[in-house]
Amino acid sequence: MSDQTARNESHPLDSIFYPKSVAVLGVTPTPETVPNDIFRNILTSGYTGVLYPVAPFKRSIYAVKAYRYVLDIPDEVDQAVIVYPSNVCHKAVEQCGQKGVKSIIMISAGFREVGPEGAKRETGVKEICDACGMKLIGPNCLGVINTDPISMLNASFARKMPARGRIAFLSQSGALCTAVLDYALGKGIGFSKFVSFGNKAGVTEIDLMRYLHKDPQTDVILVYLEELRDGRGLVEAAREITRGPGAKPILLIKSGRTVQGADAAASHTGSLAGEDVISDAVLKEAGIIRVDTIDKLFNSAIMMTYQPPPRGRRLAIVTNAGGPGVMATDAAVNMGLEIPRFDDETTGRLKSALPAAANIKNPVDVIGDARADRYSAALQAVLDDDNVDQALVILTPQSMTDIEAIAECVVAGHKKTDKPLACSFMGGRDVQVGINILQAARIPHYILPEWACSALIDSNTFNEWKNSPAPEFKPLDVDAAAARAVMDSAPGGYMREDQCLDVLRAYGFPVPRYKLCTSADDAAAFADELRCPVVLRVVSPDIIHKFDVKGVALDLDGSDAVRGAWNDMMTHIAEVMPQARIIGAIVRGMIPPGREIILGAKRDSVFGPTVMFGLGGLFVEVFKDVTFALAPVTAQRAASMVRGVKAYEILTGARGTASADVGGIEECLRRLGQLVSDHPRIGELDINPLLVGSADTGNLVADVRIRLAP
Amino acid sequence: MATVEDRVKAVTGRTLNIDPGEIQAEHSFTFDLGAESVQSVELVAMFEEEFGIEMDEDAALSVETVGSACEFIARVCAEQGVAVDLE
Amino acid sequence: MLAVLLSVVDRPVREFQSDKVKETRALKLILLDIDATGRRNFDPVGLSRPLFELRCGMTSLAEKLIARTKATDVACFIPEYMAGVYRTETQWPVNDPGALGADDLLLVNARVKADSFDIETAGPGEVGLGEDGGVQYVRVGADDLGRIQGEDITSWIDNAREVLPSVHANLPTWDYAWDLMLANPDELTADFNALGRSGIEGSVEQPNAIRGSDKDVFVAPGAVVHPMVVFDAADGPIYIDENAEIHPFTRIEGPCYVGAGSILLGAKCREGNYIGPLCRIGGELEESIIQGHSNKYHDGFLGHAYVGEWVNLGAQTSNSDLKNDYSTVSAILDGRRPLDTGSPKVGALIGDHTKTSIGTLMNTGSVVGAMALIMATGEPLPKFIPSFAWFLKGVTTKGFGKKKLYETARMAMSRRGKEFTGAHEAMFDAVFELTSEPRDEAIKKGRKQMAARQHS
Repeated sequence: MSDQTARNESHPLDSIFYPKSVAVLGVTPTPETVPNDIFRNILTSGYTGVLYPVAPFKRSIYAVKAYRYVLDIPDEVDQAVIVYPSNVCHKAVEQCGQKGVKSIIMISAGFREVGPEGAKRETGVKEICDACGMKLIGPNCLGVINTDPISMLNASFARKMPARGRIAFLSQSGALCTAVLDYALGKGIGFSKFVSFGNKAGVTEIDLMRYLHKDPQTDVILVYLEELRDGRGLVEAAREITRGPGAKPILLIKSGRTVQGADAAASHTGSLAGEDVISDAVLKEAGIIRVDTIDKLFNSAIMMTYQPPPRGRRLAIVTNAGGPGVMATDAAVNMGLEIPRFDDETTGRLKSALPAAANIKNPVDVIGDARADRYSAALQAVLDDDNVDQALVILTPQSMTDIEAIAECVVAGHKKTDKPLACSFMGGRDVQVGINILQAARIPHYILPEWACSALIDSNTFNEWKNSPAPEFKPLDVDAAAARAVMDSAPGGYMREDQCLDVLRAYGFPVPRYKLCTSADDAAAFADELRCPVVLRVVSPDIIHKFDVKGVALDLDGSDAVRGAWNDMMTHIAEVMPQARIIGAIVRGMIPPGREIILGAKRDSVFGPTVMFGLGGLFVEVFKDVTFALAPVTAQRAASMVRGVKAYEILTGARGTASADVGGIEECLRRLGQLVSDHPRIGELDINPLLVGSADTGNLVADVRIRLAP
Repeated sequence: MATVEDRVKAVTGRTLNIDPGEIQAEHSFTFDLGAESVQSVELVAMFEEEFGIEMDEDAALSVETVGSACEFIARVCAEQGVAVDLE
Repeated sequence: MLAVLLSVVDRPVREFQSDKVKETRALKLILLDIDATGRRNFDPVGLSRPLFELRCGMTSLAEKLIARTKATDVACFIPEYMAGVYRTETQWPVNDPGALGADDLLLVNARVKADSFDIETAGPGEVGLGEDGGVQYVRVGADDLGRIQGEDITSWIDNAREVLPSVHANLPTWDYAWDLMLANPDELTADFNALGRSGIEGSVEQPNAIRGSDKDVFVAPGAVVHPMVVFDAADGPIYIDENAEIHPFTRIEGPCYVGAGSILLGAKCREGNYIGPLCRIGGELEESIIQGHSNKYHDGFLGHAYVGEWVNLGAQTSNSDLKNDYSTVSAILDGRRPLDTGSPKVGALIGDHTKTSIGTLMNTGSVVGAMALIMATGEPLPKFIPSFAWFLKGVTTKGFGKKKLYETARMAMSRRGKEFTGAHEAMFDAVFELTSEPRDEAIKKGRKQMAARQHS
């Protein structure tokens, strides 16, 4: 019962996992139908509460007295599992509300996933749940499983109750759930909680992740997500869950595409990379480990749940075959693990325990004819070495290999150490006895050494993340009020160039000296003041493509040239676009050619304000070499964004170019993040290009475009 | 001749094993009367047989209550020239 | 199907040695499947594909005719309702009148048996007629071409009959789907021999036993044969195509062909089976043709059957293929009139996308239409189940309708990375119409039975 007290008793989602009574609504007596399977699963899985079937005009289901309506049940009902056809679910939910039910698991399909009519039904059901304070899982889901002995609830139509374990699994896909349960059964993997959340009309993956963070039965949280609706919420939750005391790793498979809101119309930055690229960058920023396959999901999960956290990245390998040892070494190094040298004492111990032909350096090769004694001595020696943080034992079945004994000695070695251990007994049938022994002792086993390395690196990554301080966002000095005043005066849509520049100037971006001039004389005077060749750019709320109407004049040297260009420009525009309202024209100095980069910001329908960085031209358009971050952007994140592009070296003076003002770029990214966070009206902002100068000359905004919401 | 409603209730009662006297117009076949999915198909077939009509299965299966089944059937009967007692 | 067709060139199709067939100039073969009435004798497996896509032995009827005529170019004319789907599966021009514009054309009714096609492929224009007076082939020389006119293929052929001389060729034809099934074992052997490939190029895990000669077994590259598999090639050859997987305790008697990517799960394969690509087969199978993409995962006997694509047979689905008095088997193709097949052994014909439940029992000479859904009761099925039937509680019903069946088909195909497209839907809509009469009758009869049961 200590578990029960450890559990935060008053959590609102408790009624999903720990209901004192459950009613299944819409049960039928026909075997092998979904409603019947669910009822039978709860009945036979050892549920510790009370179960009621609701089945109109049936006396009983499996000898349990049946009720026509949930309202007819004489006792309290904590949880209702609803399996009625979608068109009558609202009636069942209404009655649940009257009955005082606390949580609803809606298995029924035929809601948002089938189109607008279904979406309407879903909203209706959700509204009743909200009004009555009922938590809703689903609809269109497989159900919920809790292996905690104080509940033992299998409110799902999965065929089998999984074993008890410390991994929680959340899945949007019901079909995947059954596959995962079957997979786990075959590998002896147990679960603490298992939830198929379907359309997530009520309770979302974010709510469930937060609940599992506090669940003493759960060590690792696995999530299979098809559709990310609240990316920012997910990131915020993940940041809290994966850091600090009680941190838990989150491993996530994200498939499919996000639903893009109508407001997320094609924007320059958005079209540079699919939503998925943003998700990838952003999830990493939240400490979430994203994986692509079910194998990898569980490979890493069992490492993190079965083994202690590694203290560092140094890996010792013990093998009885050279080839696999070398392959494992390559894989480990490529993934970011280190293969350390052993200290003298270890080398001495290995020398005395192993034959002369053995390799006593890392990776240790105990040679093909090795038996348990050699494995035991080698493993002990390397685990005792302070230069080793974790070990991988590789075995290939040779005629001399006593597989069982070697597995036992690995288990014994594991008991004496607090360092994580992984094994790869390669082969199939012959090594199975050994694998069984390892699995029983909760030593992660992998068919391939590469898989073991990948699981170890995930474990390291998480551990480093968990213990790293959360980066703090420090606002820069900006004039937010001035920027707001400019935006308040602008209508929705693309802002005028002078206004864009005003906004950037208020936020401390390196903008060139410019002036909005209203006459040829005014422009000529300002050009004289600048004392350099200038650019003239027409400003009109009606002209979007300035070049098309000859609204840009370049390289004007001297006041006469400016005056001439002004008159030509205005005459031409008056001819081709007589209806255009002309505010004037911007005069600014010519910007010298240089390396170009792009900074972008976008209000994403899933993630909210995001910031993008990329080197200009080909790098962005062809190679899609860009990085993303959520706004606001911390100094650390800005630095990693700039260093995260593959062509970063171009900025650091590769191939004879001068080193760029990287610090200045980072500062721009921080300012940009702050700008879009501060002003929700900004839908999209592109600084394209930002001309990169050296640390002496600094960078310069060459062109900017801002789209405002109405 | 019995009314459409009487006949619908009689067929429903027979198909679902319920006393027709307990069936009311506002009852939902599934939620109130406990029809299973295969029984819904049976109901459609039995209404067709009872009234000598052909119903579109998608439309017929989306009928939710006994009362709306009566309306639906009366309409189909009218379309297909089958005389029925409405009152 | 596409892959099979594309492989015509490099696939070892039988080389027919006939002194009448000479190596000549480029020949364009036009496959004809335009006899709307006659083709219904191949229901239900011909409902959703050209007849020349049906299989017999290791090859399709089209592949046989191409090999026989040594055609260098192929086009076809098929019922318009299936043209949309077939165009996505073939590279040949489909229902394209432009295909009739080239030199040296040979139009052949797809039902003509290739083995018996002993007509000169080059020569003066000629129309060959069958016993029933129907056109079996049209040979067109370059000189004749301008003389024949027609807005569509039917009028073009009518015109050819007027313009060109006719001969009574009386070539043997395939007349019913069971003809293919009955000829399957011999064709398998002949195709294997013509192909001339043998040996183990895939992986065969030991222990494994081959009865008969190693020369009569071919395991293609990428195929995996697990331990404890028996190949009995004593009475016929065995061909395991690329990436097929044969699980332990499978016994295969030759002649047999296992298609690319198919999986045999401890199956007992008696002689004379063609198993198309990407099938999952368990249980007992004898002298049957499974077109492809179909599952018979579990135990149960299927003999002398022709099964379409995307069929799923539930556990213990079985058919009888021999009557207890050894008399010839009759089958009902149109829902009304029994036809004597003339053979004592005919099992079931099952159309595309049909699904049977656990424990489905089928009588000798059963015909189960396309897109049907069978929930068995334990009693043997009626000998005729119409296409798009929902067979529930022992009777044919409208069930949950056509849309629901399409949804299931869509899901089944997407699980194998294929798409059930608008063209598929349009094709099956046409099949629905073509098969409506017997279905409506069966539904009416079903209602009566159901009502009678309620009243009793």
